[in-house]
Amino acid sequence: MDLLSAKVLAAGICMGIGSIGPAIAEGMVAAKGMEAIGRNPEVSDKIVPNMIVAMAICESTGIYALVISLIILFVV
Amino acid sequence: MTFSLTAETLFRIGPLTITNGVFGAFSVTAFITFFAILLRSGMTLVPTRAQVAIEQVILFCEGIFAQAFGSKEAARKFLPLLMTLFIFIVVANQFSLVPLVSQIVLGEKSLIRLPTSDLSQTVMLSLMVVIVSHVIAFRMAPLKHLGSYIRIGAVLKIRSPKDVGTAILELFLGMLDIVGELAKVISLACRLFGNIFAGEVMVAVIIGLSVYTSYIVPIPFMLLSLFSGFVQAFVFMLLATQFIATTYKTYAVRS
Repeated sequence: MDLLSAKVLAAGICMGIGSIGPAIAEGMVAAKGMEAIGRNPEVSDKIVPNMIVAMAICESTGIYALVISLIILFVV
Repeated sequence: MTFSLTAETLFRIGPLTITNGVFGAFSVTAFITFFAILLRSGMTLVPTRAQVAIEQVILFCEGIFAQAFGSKEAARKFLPLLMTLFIFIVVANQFSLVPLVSQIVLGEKSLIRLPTSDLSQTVMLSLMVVIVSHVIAFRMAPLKHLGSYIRIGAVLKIRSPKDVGTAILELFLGMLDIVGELAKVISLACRLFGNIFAGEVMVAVIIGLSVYTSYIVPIPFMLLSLFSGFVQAFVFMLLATQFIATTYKTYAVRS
């Protein structure tokens, strides 16, 4: 296997495995947020910003995978 | 179709190298300053439409800060720093939507690169936030703040052989906290950089896919990156608020 194909394969595998966790986590956050809004619609103004922040924090591991695969593709 | 992960050097003034990311940051700052002066000169008691919009944003953010810091005075104190971060990042994220900005080239490099898709600048922004939070804590309670990282207090409290284990554990936990502070900088910087750079790359890939996808097809992806630009700016501001507020609150009660 030459270097280019190894790099492309590594970036693809990195992104594929790395996005499983954040996807599950964001789904759980969204589900719980929706549940809370459904139970108590008056406080949705307070829930939605907190939900987005929690989602962004869950997302960060996915973003690390993305940064690493970008580094594999363009730098290494 | 080429992407560069790092900003490209445009020219040098003495020992300073001006990259296109830095040039982008300068243009964003000039843009914001221009609009701020324009808005300020037209400020009246009966507000105009733009004034109402800006006032609403500031009031909304002030409410968030007051909730995080626990009091309105503290929120007022940190409002300039946090709002500046927010406004800068929002404008910087959407700056490529200004027509013709990405078409200006100098030689073969584009003159303006989004400041937030330059990793060194996002690292700079997050480093500034973390350092501010530490400087504030250090000025309020220098010894207490150092002691929460280099935990000698537990070693001094050793009375019996049973306490040795706890003391070693405390020292180790303190070191772990130092690593945690470094991780804060990296995670804050990489989150912003990754989102914005990925948005750019995604639009460029869709445009370069074939002739048919270069006109209308990228628009949904541009909308997605616009939305994520707003959300990331908001998240950056909220996380900065949390970092500063947690250290501020720990020491504000005691002093």
